[in-house]
Amino acid sequence: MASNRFSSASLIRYVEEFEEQSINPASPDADFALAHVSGERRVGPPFMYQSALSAFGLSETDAAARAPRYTSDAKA
Amino acid sequence: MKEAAASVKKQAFSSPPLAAQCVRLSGSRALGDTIASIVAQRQPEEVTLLVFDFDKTLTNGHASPTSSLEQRVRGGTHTIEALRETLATPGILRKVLTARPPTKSSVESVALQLNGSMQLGEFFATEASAEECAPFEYGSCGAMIAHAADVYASGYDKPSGISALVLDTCTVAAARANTKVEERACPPIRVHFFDDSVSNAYRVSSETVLATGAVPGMVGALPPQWDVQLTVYWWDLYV
Repeated sequence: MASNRFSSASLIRYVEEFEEQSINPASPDADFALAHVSGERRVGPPFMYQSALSAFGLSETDAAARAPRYTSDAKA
Repeated sequence: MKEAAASVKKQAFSSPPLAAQCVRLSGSRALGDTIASIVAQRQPEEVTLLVFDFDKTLTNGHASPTSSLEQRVRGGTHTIEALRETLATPGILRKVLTARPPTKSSVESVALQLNGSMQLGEFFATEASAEECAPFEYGSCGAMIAHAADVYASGYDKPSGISALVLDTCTVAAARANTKVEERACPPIRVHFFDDSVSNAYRVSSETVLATGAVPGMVGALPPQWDVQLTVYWWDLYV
């Protein structure tokens, strides 16, 4: 299903993000999970992401330093 | 009251967005600490609405019933203890607002997880008829929302989800108050919304509007005149 919608590179990233998020790709919620892990990019354009970070007190420098990946308290 | 709320839900929403305070949370104890602080500081007459995103905010993502508490619930024991403290105060309401699609299956899936693998069922009501779980149109811009008791799904249109939650809270709170219909007014409502997605949190902080029309059966009931305060917490996943 996913291979119909994504390039190889994006499919690899999709799988990596699934693993990182500890979301079971086989679960009925897999489609949602895909949307969710991509949510930061999907919800709005890049300027919204920067504005959002700024609204919550992070400077553009701070924001630029943040890697485009997710971690979780469970894995910390 | 259900009919009254339904009529309001169809109105155009032209009022300015609610002014919101934005707060960034960080660290695994942040949610529990913040809930405890809210409980300690709340006023007796207010309705305190605690609204949690589900995946990666209330939970750590996928978990099985054999997963440890820390693996299931973000913040683990500390979060659970804070949630349990809220049960003792009737004026504190706990809701889930997920970005999953606004469908009956979405809210049923979250309800199943709350009561099953996440073991959080004691904090959220989830029983609802199939009719109640059916998606409804909210506002005049095509926003769709589905909910099963305390579980709401609005897709990524979370501002509409918060708006609907406030409306439901106002109408139910007014109806439950032991007053005559002509004396019913909306109590002060303090909304605290938690999300792990900064974009979702930002949108709620900047785009949440209330219905503009009167709610039948309530006095002074133009929603823009209600005493509603919104605080949005982004619980940062980066550590």
